[in-house]
Amino acid sequence: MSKLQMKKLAIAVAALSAVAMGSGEAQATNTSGSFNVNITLTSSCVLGTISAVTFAYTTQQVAASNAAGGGFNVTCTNTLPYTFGLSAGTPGTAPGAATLNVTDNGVNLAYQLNLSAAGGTGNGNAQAFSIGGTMAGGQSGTCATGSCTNTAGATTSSNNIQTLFVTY
Amino acid sequence: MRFARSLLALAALSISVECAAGVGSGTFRVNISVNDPGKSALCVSQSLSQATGALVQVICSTGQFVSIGPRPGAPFAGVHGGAFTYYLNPSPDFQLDGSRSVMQGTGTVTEYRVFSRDGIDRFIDILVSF
Repeated sequence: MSKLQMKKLAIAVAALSAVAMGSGEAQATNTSGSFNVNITLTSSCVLGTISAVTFAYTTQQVAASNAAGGGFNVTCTNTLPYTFGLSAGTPGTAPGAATLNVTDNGVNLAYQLNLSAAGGTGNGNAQAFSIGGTMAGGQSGTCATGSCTNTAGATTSSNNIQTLFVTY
Repeated sequence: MRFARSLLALAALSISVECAAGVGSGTFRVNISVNDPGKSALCVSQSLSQATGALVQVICSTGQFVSIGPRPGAPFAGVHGGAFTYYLNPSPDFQLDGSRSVMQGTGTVTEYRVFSRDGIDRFIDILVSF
């Protein structure tokens, strides 16, 4: 190789080095790190308003009287199992029972309350259930006039408020 | 030993948290209405006689309900004592709408609801034996 060729080669190497150095700033080395997203979910159930359970009864009626009303919604965390229980009075005693027997102290009529289901599994949406009731036939009750209610007058009841528990 | 107890305590704590996540509750009312027909629509025989073929007037709390007497020349088989029963002989123009028994203390009262199919008022013959 002649001196001239050696000089051309040196210039070429220098040029390449300059190009390489310039491109080194444009192509920075990437680095990465991973991190966790930690979530603590506290499962819960929200019990909606419970509509009143209503009986209409005629003294000494032959057939049992079935209650109307008693509907309610419960909204629980998805896949969270829950159970219902009924308890007399308020605040009642958790977890309650599947059925509840009460004799109303206003109109002196006995009835039994029950649940449309023992419980369920949450799905994140409101789920509908109901409290049913049965009043056996053949009862006289207490009423000094032609008709009475346990919500007003002399036959006003002091034990007509009951409690529903949702355990999850 | 102390470490083992601590582990047991922690295990018990975690189990109880999983089993008893929470309890919610709500109250509701139980409303009862009772109707006592023995007081709202009590009817008694005001002029009940012990004689066969007597005129019987039934008076209700809302006023006189009916007067029942023997029709001239019609058979009237009377038997004293026992519960009162109203025998209705439904004709094609009338229809019985069930019956029920209501305890009124002593004796039994049998009730029938009678109405005219064609909606026209007319006399109903009722034989009363007592």
